Amino acid sequence: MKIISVSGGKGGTGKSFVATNLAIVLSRYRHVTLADLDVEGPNDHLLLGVDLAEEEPIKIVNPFVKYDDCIKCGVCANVCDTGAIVMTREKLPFVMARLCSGCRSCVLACPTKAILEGYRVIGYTYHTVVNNNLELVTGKLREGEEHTPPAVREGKRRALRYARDVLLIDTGAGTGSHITLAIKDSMLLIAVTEPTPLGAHDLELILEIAKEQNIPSWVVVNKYGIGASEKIFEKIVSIARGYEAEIIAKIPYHDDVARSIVERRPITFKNPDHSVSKIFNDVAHKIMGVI
Amino acid sequence: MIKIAFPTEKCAGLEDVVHTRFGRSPCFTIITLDEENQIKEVKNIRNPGYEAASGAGVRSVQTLVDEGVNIIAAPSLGPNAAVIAQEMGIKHITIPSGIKIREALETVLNEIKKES
Repeated sequence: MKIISVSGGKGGTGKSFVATNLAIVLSRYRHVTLADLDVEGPNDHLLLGVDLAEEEPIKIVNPFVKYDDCIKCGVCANVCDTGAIVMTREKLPFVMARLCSGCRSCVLACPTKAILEGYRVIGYTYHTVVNNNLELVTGKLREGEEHTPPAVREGKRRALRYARDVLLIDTGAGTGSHITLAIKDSMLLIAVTEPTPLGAHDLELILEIAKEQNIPSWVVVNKYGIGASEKIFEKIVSIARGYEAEIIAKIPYHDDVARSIVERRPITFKNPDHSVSKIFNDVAHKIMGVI
Repeated sequence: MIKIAFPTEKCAGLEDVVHTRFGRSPCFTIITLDEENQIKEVKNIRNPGYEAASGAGVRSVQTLVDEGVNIIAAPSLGPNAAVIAQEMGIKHITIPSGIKIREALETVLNEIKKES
């Protein structure tokens, strides 16, 4: 089983557009599990035109203090990395659930075992069978929750349960710990960018993250043709060269793509002979050459 | 005994200025009042929330709980700080930023008088 990640740093470059279409084309060769780990706003199901199904809760440990056993030592508050435990005037620990990341440090550190492990639901994972060679796993954080890493971890764990040949991971935007967790153990990172100053800037960040994890990268330049594409494309070329990342595709900005997204019918599925679909065929073929 | 904490910029007591932020202010000036509401003590402390990666507001409130503060006078509290301050029985009095602590104290004393 091979893990391939689609990321890109900047939001709105078309990571999910590339991931969903690539998943469709790759599933003609191999069984593909697409993991949507953009847990703050997953929408691969919207692009694929399917519904989220088979909901399972994502639980994290939530500490409960058994005050009868508390010796008021304050160790739990000291070890808490997120500041979720406050010591009251009476020197009793008060837990603020929303800030707790569920790391269990307080549970382990308490000398009298006065902290019990409850749990709290911070989000959900879903599993949708798209067709007999393509499955979608989605991780979704509940509104207002701030701890993305545990949700990414759970979504990935569930996706690994169904993964047979290829696990294609679609990450959220950014370069934080939720991204490093999502792309971990990938054999290849496909960095989707756009020919804008912001796209070029964030491309460098994601390539740096991949380099740190020793993951080779390929670059897809999406929405080519907008703005000063040619000029910025030169910059993207030089950034990619610096990281030995090959630019494997240049996807033109096309009304048919926008239409396919609005219709919730991916272009590679709706119109396999479209010029954009052909680009995805080439990318899939190239991926088949390395896996 | 009333202890009032103000977020301040330079740890400079009564001559300092009210900082715009609570959890991320560099210092707190803590004023202790006696029974006649006269200044008994002025203390400056560094705010650990100033440099905290996360949970600044909560850390700030914790520091003030440890100091025995019962009133926070600040322009506004963050959502977490507000919840925890309320849980800890600390009252928040709204004052504008940019004014001298001496002046801000007048506002707070007026609020206290109004309530008693």
